[in-house]
Amino acid sequence: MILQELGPGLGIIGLLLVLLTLRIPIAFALAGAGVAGLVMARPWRAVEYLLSTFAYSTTANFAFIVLPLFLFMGQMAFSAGLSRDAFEAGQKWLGRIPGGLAAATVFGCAAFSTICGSSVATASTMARVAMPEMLRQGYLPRLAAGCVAAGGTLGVLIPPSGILVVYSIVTEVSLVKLFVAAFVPGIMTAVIYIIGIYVWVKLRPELAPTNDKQTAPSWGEKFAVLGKTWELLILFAAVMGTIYLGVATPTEAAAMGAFFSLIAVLRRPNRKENVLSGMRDTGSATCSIFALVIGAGLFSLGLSTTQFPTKLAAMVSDLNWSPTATIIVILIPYLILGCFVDGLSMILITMPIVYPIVTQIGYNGVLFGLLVTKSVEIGAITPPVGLNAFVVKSMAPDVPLKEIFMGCLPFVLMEIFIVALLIAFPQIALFAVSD
Amino acid sequence: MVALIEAVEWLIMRLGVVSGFATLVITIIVVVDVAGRAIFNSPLHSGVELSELLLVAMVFLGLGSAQQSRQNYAIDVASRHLPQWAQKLLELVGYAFCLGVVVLLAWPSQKQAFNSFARGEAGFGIVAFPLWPARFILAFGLWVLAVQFTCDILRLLLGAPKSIEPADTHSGVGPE
Repeated sequence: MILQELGPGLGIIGLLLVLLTLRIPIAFALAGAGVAGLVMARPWRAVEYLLSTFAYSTTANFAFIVLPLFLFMGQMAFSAGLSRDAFEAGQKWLGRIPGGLAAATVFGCAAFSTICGSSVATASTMARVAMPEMLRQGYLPRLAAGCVAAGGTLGVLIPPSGILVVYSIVTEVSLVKLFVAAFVPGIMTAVIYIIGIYVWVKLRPELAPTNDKQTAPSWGEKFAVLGKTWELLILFAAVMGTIYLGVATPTEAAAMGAFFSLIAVLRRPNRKENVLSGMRDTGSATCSIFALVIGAGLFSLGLSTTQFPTKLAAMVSDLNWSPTATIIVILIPYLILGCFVDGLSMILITMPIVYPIVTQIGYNGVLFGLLVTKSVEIGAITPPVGLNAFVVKSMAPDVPLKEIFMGCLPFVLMEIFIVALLIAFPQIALFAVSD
Repeated sequence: MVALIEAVEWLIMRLGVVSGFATLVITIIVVVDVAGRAIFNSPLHSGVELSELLLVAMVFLGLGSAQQSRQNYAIDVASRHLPQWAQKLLELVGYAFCLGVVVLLAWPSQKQAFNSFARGEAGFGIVAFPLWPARFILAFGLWVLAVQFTCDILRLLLGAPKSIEPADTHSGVGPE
């Protein structure tokens, strides 16, 4: 009976899995499976009309402009090297505690994440800035690489976040609410990382050199270095400040951020090359993401014609599990799949199936977005395809990959702890978000 | 034959540059719109519609060059351990499948574009901004992507693979 009801939908999902296994690019596999579902359920003329308008209606939306603008802003912030100022500030303020440079790296990642929504870009820029300094001062590669790779994941949680933008597009959850809700968990993650580094170095002192011989910076020096981060502060105020205060929409804020970060690049050497490569990379990334969004949209349409998502959601609801238990069961596959599939693709592939269940059981869509983002980012620091670990490896070729993953392990445990905290105490994220 | 493919791919790459340039134009339009509204209480007329048109141009004119640079995500966990010939075969099947999907989207989109032009389709904003240019750009971009997949298939059959620019020459900035 169950198979009979879910059969057509399972057939479409099965087709998608076959296509993905055959290494068909995800966007086209999703679109192909979706079109197959539509053709099975509707006459060709209806399908043809749908296909003639679908790509346009999925793309021509002013609200979606936020994605390339945030990507461009992150690209410009990367080119301008704003992460270096954040790292230096972290070094002055946290450099004296055990594992101080590693803590400063996490601080730098968190500060850079407030203007860049990409985990890879955050890890990449911080690997260039902080890794050589940590290795030079005698930090073990395990700690140095681990904190950079894990710190990079702050890029997609602390707003603006590229993954949250895409999640908002596919689920229609308010982007403003997602950004407001993600801020405290993002900062909390950074604080827990810094505490974790402190405890780790206390337990294993050989990980980091002692700071006894260094002279402590004066308060004057500490505040002076904060002044050097003025560009970061202006960008944060122009983008997240205006969104949080409700004076600008995310699109307007992203445009202001892109504009100010462009000025930051124009003030520095190699401006022409940086702006041109920034535009090229932004265009390229936007195209591949929208190809995925269109593919996921067609897949969702094809699947919904079989009523699979609603039937599955009703079945899950009939199990009478608590919403929390259901969400935990939903999140576990993300943790496992995250080891093999990149987070963005995973969100786009699974949301058409999973999100109706989330709404059916009455779980908060904003909180679910944060939990999924957290879960998929754990995949970025776990083997075999942890993207951030490979970014660190490309910047520090002498550090063995095994050492990098071993360095990530404590942070994976901290991440799981934070996910558990968010599930147990949703108000950490939702206190500022009205229903 | 390879020279022809290279010439076509060069043109497709130039369209990618146009796509990237749209980012800058969108940024300027939205900033002027926001500043105009905040300072002079006068927003940029048709700024929203123009930005939407540019977003469509950005996405669809760049699809071909994104494919040429292998920017489309794929999962190769299962296939990476296959022998070389099997991987080549999978690649060929993959390109042919993608070409089929793109043509399935391009053909109706093109018909829709002509239809939109014939009835003078326009938006419902303060200014009746024409929508058919975006529809034509969209259909054109999809056909360009189809041409790129055809080039990929021909390259595979002719044994003339394209060398891809190494990934570490840029920051890797994306939503990930």
